[in-house]
Amino acid sequence: MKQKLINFFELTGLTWFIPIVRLCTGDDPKEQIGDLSRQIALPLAAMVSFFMIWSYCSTKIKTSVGQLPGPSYVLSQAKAMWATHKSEKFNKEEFKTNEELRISVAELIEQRQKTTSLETKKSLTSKINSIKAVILKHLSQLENEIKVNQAIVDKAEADKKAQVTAMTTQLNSLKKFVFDENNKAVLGPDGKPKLSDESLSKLANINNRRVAVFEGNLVRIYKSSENTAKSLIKKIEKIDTYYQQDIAYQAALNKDELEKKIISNKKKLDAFEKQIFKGKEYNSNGSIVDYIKLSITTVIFGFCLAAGIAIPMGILCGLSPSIMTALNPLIQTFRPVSPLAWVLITIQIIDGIFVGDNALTGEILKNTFLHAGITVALCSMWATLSNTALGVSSVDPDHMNVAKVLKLNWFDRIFKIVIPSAIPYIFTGLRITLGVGWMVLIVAEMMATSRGLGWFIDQEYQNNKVESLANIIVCIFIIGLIGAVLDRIMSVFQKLVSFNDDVAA
Amino acid sequence: MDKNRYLDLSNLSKVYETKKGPFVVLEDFSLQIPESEFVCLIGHSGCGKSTILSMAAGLNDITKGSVAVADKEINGPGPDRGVVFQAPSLLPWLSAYDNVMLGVKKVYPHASAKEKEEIVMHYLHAVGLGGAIEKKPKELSSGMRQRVGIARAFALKPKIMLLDEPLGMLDALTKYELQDLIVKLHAEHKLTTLMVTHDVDEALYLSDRVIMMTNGPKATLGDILINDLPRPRDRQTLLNHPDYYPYREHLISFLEEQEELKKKHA
Ligand SMILES: Nc1ncnc2c1ncn2[C@@H]1O[C@H](COP(=O)(O)OP(=O)(O)OP(=O)(O)O)[C@@H](O)[C@H]1O
Ligand SMILES: [Mg+2]
Repeated sequence: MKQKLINFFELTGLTWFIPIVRLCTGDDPKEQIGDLSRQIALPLAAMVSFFMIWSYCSTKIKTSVGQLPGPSYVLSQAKAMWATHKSEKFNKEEFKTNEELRISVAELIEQRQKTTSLETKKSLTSKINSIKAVILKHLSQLENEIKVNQAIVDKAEADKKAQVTAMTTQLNSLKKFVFDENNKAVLGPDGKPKLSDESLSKLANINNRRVAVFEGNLVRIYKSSENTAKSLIKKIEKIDTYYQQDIAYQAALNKDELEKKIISNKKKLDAFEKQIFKGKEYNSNGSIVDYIKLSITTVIFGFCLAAGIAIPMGILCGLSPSIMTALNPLIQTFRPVSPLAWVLITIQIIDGIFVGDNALTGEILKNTFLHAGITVALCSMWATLSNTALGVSSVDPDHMNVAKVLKLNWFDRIFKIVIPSAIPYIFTGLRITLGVGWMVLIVAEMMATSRGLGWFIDQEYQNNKVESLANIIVCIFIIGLIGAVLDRIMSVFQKLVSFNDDVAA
Repeated sequence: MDKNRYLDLSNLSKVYETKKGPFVVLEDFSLQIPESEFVCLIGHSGCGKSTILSMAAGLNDITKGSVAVADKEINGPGPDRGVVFQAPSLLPWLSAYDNVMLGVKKVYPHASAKEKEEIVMHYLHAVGLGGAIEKKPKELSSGMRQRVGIARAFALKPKIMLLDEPLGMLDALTKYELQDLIVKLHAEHKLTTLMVTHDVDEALYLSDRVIMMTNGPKATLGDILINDLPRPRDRQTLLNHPDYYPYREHLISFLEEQEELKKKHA
């Protein structure tokens, strides 16, 4: 068990877990703690100094949109992004619930319109009315949520106000004012001494922090969901009224007199029923989690495409020096081409093939997805290609001798000797490919407007606010982390397929 | 078929084309090995022992002369000549079992799966590797790897066994074990064997004849020692045999002579 854990951490490169495991299983604590402090303390110290330097610089550097966001600001932005994601999720769920309710009502009404049997009509009517109870139950849940969240919002608002007041007093007492060359305090438009830029940015930081975004958004979402549900009830009631009236009129004795009423009643009933049939599209820009998901899907798609092209081509190049000689100039020419150039041509070609914005069905298989994915493949496949070619062409002569002594035929030589012995090279290439692909992806998404992380960064950039700048910094960390995780995964594969132990970490 | 020249190397010459012009490694080397004889080849490093062996295996082009096995001139490598090199050159992605199986499949194409398995297991057991058959080469010690290499060569049921310093990289104890293994396998299969070695004692322990080679370039056969020490041999009694030291002395003085010549040349 212990050895298994240690092996696992060694394989994944998370070596700083090893002393912890050893410590927990009762190995010499002194040695392990020494190990641990070396493995964890040093990176930790580096990390802390990085954040300190960043924090310091952020007070000094002014960007075109305002003060450079410091770590704490970025952290609060990250929280806000997470909160946005959560409220987005709630929004979607609420939308779905309401839509489902509408659809079930609409189905019942449709059935009622079609049937001629009075009995069935009656039972359907009572079913329609019973849905009201379901909606009411949903409403009471919502009311509860609104109450709870409103309280949180109120408290957060109050906290924020208190914080701003405290900060203002603090700043005033520190007297961080602006002085002119005669050392006289400069007055602001309100007649009071003007605060220095640094003080202002501190204040702005508080104001900008979206303290109550999450809860505020939730209240908004729940309220709109409540409205939708309520209006659905109203519609059902209206329909019922007109329906009952219709029955009454139809059954009346003096039909001629009622003719007008019957017609106008029928029209109203139809109008309301039509409203129920009309569905809504869920419309949203998505949240950070959606962007991450799309980015990862895209990079995996691009990666598989790259591998699918580069490995067979690399094998051919490695096997035949003439193919290598033929293709080499092309490879050398295309390899250094920037993703920016590839993406543009990819966009035009793909749009030419799949005419229209969304010729392929499915939510992610839009043209923009293909643009970004293919660009990733085009830019990243070269490492795998050249590594595969190298691996195939540099088969250990001893292994080739084995093939010769055994008189293996061509097919066996390729599949039993050449390709297996090239596998470690291929995986080294694939690891580089995935790394390059992930890097290229961000640019490709920006250009292709595929709604992943790259697109989001671009959107935020267009926003031109300090807040957006902080969002971009959050994205940079996310991109870095995902890239590191992808690289770890590939390095595990690389270690698993290697025959020797001396593979780079 | 002439039993006295089961492996027949006649007038072998080898010229490597180098940047500095042709380099004559070997000139006019002839050696006939009778069936089931064990011959050791010794000589200074670089004199061309491996070259002879790889030419006999068919892995190296023959510049002049010919190699014949059982009166048939060879044409390229083939499984009728088992080869074991200094480095075991196992396929690292295959287990010990699969490494042996690769050859067995090739040599016994018509055997049933079960028969093949039995053959593989027989040879792996013969080299004392019954317990480690599923291990990959990197999980084996160098001695065990060489055992797999030997099993693989013997499993081909070759007519000739060519060994190029198979025990060169092993520690003394493992070396002794594997020497005993080679003796055992030779006693069992009576394979005609040509083995290169640097170790004089090893040569005397294993061989029926020791071929001494002169220094290169243009190396050739220098001297032959008929090693008639009684078989079965035992290391201890061998040391006490009256002929042992004279034989040993013969080999060493030949090597020293060659060393002297080399110095004079330089
Ligand atoms: N491909 C080659 N091209 C040129 N010269 C070569 C080539 N292969 C071997 N040689 C030369 O041929 C000579 C004999 O080489 P060989 O490997 O047969 O020596 P050896 O007797 O086996 O030496 P050792 O005992 O060190 O294994 C050496 O001088 C070597 O430099
Ligand atoms: Mg050699």
